[in-house]
Amino acid sequence: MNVTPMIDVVMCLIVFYLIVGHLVMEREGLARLPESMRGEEQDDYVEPIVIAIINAESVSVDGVETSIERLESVLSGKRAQQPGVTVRLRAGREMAYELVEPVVEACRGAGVTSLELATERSP
Amino acid sequence: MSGSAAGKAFRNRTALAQHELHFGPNMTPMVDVVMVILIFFMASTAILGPEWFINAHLPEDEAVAAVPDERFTLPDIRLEVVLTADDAGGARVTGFGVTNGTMAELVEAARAAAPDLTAGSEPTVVIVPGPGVAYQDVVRAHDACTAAGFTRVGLD
Repeated sequence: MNVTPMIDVVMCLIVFYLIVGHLVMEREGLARLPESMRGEEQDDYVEPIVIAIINAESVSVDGVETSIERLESVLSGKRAQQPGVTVRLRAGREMAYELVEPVVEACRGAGVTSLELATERSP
Repeated sequence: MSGSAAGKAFRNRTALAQHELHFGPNMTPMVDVVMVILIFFMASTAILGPEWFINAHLPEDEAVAAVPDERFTLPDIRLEVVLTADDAGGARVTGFGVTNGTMAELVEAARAAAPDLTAGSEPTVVIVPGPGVAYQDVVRAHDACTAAGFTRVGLD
């Protein structure tokens, strides 16, 4: 029995899962998003600034970990480079709002007037 | 003589003979790999599909809000929906005439109040979550307000 094609396929799958999983985890953060009944699909393809909450002290901004204290300056810098860019917030549904509030405050401090909350479509 | 020529034309080839006749690269592994990649992309698109986004305004605090220059300009209407955590891990709601009510009561009250409040103006509904309120409940309250017809729903 020739097992070469099977090994090819399995290796390809493994490498693909590794790369995609790593990229998704780095940028988006893994969390069970809150459910919502009213949302909008992403209609344009301009990459937003994605903030994922890691814990009470740190967040990830476009896959780069930073502290809550530095978030405002990081956001201001990014918005200066890309004026009008959307800011997207990813936080887990079980998370207490006390963890989300400093991020919202930092966004407000950086001049963000509208925030995109990532949710899952409610069944 | 003619019989031997007919015999050659209809001669059955063995699998080995057919294999030896084949030349050029073997396409089978490449087709396998391409099919796997195709299926993977299809599956990953289906997984990522149900995600969608809601828009939350970030109104400035009243203390730092800009004062309009015009003499007779009325300030924007700001409505607050206060969420407090209950013992069962859920959230109680105060706003739109509901005091310490449930999320279902908020939906009804917001729906009843929306036609009057949105007539001729665009009020900002600000959700003010208290300590211990889950993020899911904040999103649920946001949903209730947008479903009622308020277009500017924000977070405190």
